[in-house]
Amino acid sequence: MQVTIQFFGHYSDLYPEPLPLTVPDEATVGEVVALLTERDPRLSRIGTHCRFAIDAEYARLEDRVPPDSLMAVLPPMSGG
Amino acid sequence: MPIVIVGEDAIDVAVLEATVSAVENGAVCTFVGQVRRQSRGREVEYLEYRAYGPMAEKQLIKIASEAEAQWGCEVAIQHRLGKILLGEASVVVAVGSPHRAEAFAACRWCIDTLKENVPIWKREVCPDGSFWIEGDEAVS
Repeated sequence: MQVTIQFFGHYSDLYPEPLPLTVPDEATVGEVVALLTERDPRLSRIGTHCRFAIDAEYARLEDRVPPDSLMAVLPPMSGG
Repeated sequence: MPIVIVGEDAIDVAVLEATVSAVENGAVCTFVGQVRRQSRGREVEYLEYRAYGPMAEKQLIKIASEAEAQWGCEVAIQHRLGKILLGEASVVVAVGSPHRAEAFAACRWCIDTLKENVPIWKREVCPDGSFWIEGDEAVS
């Protein structure tokens, strides 16, 4: 299935545009993270250092990523 | 319903306070976050804020609604994005409630929770380069 990954914070300098990605059907957030870190070593810390969202809601590593959804990679935040 | 605004417009503190200043409220507590000159020993020229817009709005509504329910108050929050100069406000939380204890508590909780959970990031632009601030880290 196809999903789109959107990066924030300094990761948005590496990927300014949303990244289309083919992942196995019923993949979890954690499995998508593993695919991303395999494909780009610069993302090696995201699994421990970032939170994730699916379609603008926080998601856990064990949550399934629905087909055609937007998964966001959210490093520690600094609003305020 | 709380008022939540995320965008590039400059923040008018008085306008935001007015939205929580009904005559039932004997207390209005406002927190203003503004751009500071010094950060981690570096001189800051200006800040640039970026957000995951749709999620930031959802999270702010969630925070403000939870505060209204817990403290029986009215909450208005505005966060500015884009380039913000020294001394300009980047965020304002205004809380109105019948008594001050609830207004102070809700205001404090809203800004603390915002910093933790609302997907907004700042980039510090300094004479020696620019840095994304990610929690306690500055990443160039």
